[in-house]
Amino acid sequence: MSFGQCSIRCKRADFIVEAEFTVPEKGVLGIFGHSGSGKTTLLRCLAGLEKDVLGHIEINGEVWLDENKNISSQQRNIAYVFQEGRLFPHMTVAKNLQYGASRSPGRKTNTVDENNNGVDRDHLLALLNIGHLLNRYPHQLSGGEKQRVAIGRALLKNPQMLLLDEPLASLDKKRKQEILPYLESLHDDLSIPILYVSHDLDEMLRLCDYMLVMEQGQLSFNGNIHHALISPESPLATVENAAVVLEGSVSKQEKEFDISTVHTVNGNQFQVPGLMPIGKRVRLIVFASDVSVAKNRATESSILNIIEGRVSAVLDKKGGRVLVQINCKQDVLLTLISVKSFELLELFIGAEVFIQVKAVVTRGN
Amino acid sequence: MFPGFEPLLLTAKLAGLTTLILLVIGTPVAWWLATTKIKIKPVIEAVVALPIVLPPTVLGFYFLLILSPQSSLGGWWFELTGQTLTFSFSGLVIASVIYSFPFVVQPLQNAFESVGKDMMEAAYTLGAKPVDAFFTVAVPLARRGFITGGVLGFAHTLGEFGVVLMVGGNIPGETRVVSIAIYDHVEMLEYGQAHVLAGILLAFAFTAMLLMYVINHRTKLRA
Repeated sequence: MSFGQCSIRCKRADFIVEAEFTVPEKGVLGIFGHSGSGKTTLLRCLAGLEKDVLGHIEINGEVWLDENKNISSQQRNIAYVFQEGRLFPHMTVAKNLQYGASRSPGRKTNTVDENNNGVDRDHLLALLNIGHLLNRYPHQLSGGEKQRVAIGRALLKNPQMLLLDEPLASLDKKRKQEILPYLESLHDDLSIPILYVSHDLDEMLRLCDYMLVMEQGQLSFNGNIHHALISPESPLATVENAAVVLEGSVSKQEKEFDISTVHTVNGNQFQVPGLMPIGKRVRLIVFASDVSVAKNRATESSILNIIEGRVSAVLDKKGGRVLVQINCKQDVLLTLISVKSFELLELFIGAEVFIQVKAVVTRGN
Repeated sequence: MFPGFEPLLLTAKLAGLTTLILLVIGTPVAWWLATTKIKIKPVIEAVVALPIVLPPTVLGFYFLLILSPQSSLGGWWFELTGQTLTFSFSGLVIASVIYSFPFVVQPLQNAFESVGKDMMEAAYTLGAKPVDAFFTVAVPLARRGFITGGVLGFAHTLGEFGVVLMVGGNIPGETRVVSIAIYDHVEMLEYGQAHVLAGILLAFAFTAMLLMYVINHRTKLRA
């Protein structure tokens, strides 16, 4: 199922960025790390923007990098969205969008329609809500609009891989929330792989299917999002981050309470705020701090989601708090509780517990 | 036509041709200087800037040596055309190109440097080849540099005196440019003619500068 194989080694003045990973055929591969961890350098190597790179990159049967060559960006059928958008200031939005589209390698051959990544121009303009901006210049756009145009410009090139470098980092929280839904719908719409660089775990939880975690230029974790969040060897399964994502679909709506029920693929049920169409596929994000543990099923509680499970591991312990992994059927959840509670409840690996899940965030299209 | 205007036409022809050549040669040089990481870049920049500080007579003296039929360049030209480069219009063009070189290259280099590599990278990732990206992104974004460089190159060539005197002399219709003509008029106490030519030059210089600042101000507002 792999679309590409990458083995990259890029020497910088102060450190070396090294990583080996596969690019999935579809879905979002997140590259997560703190600033200076080398995640952007890694993406730039893949885009052909770095000159001093060693290793091997093969994407869709085409060799981009080996000991003899490092082909240029314009020969790689990718599209890149930069942190600052980098719209051309002397061109209107329409001309910016056209720039990549008219230079797409697939343009001359007849492959644009057949080999389409699932997005045509009108659909994309509507999806990103930028159709009304076509005659404006970049300086007349808000930060959020600029990024949406930058994403549109990249996709209209009809690339075989989309690279996003912290596309939301330059935006304030409100704008971020405004763009995330667009990115989420892209995730569901696009049939090409997306590589998404960010230092924001929340964005990762909402968008990614696979994760690379970078630390000081080195790859410290490589796997799917679920493992990245719950594996003891993952740097993300710590007291500070602690969340899990669950995939499921909407099974019930309660209009009078404005609540929907989501069935996870592993057979658990969660009630979440908001009405969503039945059958719709969604992703639930459950933060460990929103999960509490009890020895008995609480009969009278304001918490709607009470699920039976079994303690399966203790992942991390810090500052009087402990991160506990709990298996509920095949779903794995995390709870962050005080060490004192852990002792008082006399928890141990294998202990049967009831977890109360206070809040779940959903994502879907 | 009033014979006193002949130097004006000659000057306009010289300055126009020089500016055109400078834009063609200066653009790649400026781009290279703006993007190169070569260690000796300051040395090259200093050489390019030399005509700004060198006395025109010094430049003129070297031009005289290089362009004379006894030198290899001047001799080659003489073989080819049967004419000398010294005391000819062609020689003046060569001297002017070098004399005004920094006035075109420096604004262009500054403009290209402010375009930066970010926008070029964006163009590359959208499939543009380097030459394509240069003409569709770098040149339009550096348009203020082209306006400033063109105007300064033209105006500076217009005003050259020492270099012309050294390599061109004072041949009517061939090397007798306005600044030389004004000098002659003053020498012969023909203040009336000197006034006319000096006035025209002053008016032109002011208009050119005004135009440059107006255009640059507008493009700044738009960008």
